[in-house]
Amino acid sequence: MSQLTKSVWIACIGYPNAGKTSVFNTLTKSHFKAVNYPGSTVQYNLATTITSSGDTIHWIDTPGVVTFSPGSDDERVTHDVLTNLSSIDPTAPPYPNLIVYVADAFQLERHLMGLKLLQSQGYPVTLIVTRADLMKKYGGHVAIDRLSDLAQCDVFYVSSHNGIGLPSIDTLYRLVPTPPYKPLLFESESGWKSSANWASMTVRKVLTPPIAKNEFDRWILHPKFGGVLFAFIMGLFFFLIFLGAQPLMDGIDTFWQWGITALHHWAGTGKWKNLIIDGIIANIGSVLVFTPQILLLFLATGILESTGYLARAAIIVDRPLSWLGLTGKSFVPLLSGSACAIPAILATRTLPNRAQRLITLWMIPLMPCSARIPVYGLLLALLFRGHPLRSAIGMVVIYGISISLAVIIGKLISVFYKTPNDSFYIELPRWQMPYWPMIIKNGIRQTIEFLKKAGPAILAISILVWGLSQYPSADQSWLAHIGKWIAPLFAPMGWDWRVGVAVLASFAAREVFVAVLASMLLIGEDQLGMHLMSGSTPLLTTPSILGLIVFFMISMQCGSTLAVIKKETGRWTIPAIMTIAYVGLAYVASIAVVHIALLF
Amino acid sequence: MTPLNTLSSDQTAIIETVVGNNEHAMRLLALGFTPGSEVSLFKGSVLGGPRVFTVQGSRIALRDYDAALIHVSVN
Repeated sequence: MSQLTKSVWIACIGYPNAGKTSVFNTLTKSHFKAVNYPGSTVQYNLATTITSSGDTIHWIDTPGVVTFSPGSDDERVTHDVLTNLSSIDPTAPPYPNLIVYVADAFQLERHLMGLKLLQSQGYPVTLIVTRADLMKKYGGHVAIDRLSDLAQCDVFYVSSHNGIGLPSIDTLYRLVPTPPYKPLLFESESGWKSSANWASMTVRKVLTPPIAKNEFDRWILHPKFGGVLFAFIMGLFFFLIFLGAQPLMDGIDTFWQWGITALHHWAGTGKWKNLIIDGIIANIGSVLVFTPQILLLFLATGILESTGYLARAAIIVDRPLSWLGLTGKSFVPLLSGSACAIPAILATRTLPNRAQRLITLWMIPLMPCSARIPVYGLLLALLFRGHPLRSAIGMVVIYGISISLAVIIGKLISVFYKTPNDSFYIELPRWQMPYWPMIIKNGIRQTIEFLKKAGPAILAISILVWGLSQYPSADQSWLAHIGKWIAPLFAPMGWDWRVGVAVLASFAAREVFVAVLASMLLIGEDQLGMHLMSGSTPLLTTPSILGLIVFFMISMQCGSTLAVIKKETGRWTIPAIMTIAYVGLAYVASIAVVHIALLF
Repeated sequence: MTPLNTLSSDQTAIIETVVGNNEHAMRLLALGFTPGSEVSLFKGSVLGGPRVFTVQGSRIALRDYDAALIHVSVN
């Protein structure tokens, strides 16, 4: 080539669970960014590295697929990377210059089919076989030189996670063929069959199979105990999260209170100082206190996923979900919904048809997301003061009711959408020990994202509420006017106007409720203590707390969720109907609960 | 030849053919249900849901709807 430096595009392709993302991360040293696919919200990873010769490699990671034809939205991305790369990035060539095909040593035969199919279409492929270390541990072996001869391509045999055996980017760069090529772009049943024949023949020649030691499934998928075990694991999952978070939360709370006292001691008091210390810093603290719970939720989901349990759970809940016209594939989006609705909605892209997506979309906002945790946390703490165990049980009960409600609504919605087929298949990944570095990194990243999303809203509303409560004067504030004006709306639930204002503010973001209620208590009261349920006229009573919990369970109060649903469905119709339905239902249900509770 | 969903847990079988529309059949093939492969039932269904089969060293769960498209001959 000329003296000028070149730039090439290398795509990572492979089946789901082949270890593709781990390979991609190691090759690019995790300097990648997640990019939205044009026209949709499917994400893929892009990275750029420079070789020692100064040439540029653009790396593109793709969603794991079983076939290369575009069925669901994430399969379309892989399809387009292979057949029309320029549509993803205009500076890219029409096809990737090289394909790094990732195959799992434990799934060699199936994964080699995909390799052969790509090769038979004319793609230049380098093969990376993963999980070399685990293979060795279980007494298996892949004869790499032999495989390289038979597959007529370079083959690298790498360990999972640590990247031992992975080629350098310079080596991969040298494997990029110089003359341009044109693939056939043809996938057929007969193509798969001949690839299958080749793969089965090849595997017989190169693979020493590992000794199967994967007997966990006998219990996890036991016809009778499987379901019981599932209920037990999920119950324990939520219970441990809430109980485990308690000491951490107390720690943060003590530290924050100490900090605020210290700040006041140092800075004194005054209108502006109060705004900053009591208005802003204290409000941020009131939400920050719930970070451990949110972090633990993300970590626990990561553990379930990386061990391989989620795929088993999907099988177990497939039958109950079929009652709603869904399949086990909806389980992962619904479970993610218990952390945050946004990634959950994005996860519905893996569902095979529109009807299943829409039913799942309707259910997700009812899942008990992490923005509700601060609200439930505060309300349960008031209800069971000094009994963290009861609070943790209360939280599990709230989760149970929320999930049941989602199922009932799902059933109602399924009447309107007919699901076209009854197909469901899922591959069970091998059981693995949790891979901690990845789980912890992802958990922290998701928690920070949550705080970043919540932070500005809390800050803005804190200042707004503080301003409204101070002007024109603290006794006759605008906030009190607004509060008393909207009070009739919340009269049927017996909520004080201050609670009403906090509920109203929570429509900006649910977790704001806690911060606003904390500010409210400063009005006419000097201490931020537990005045909520004590005193001559308590702000909250047991029935009104139950009403609030029910309101927050059902009500649609998340602008981001609505925006993402609009983006995914293409129109405002569904988000609009959803808002009216869920806010209306929340209102009626909380009135009913308050009045039933008053009878006792 | 019998459909795969009728396989009982003590039997192994050889896959003969995969029927159904092209797209669907292709997916089942790509999952590893290729003619000539040996298949066995690993687990019956939990709560009446999908059954888990062992094929090409992998465990794959299928609903009866999908399993019925795979025709096998029992050894």
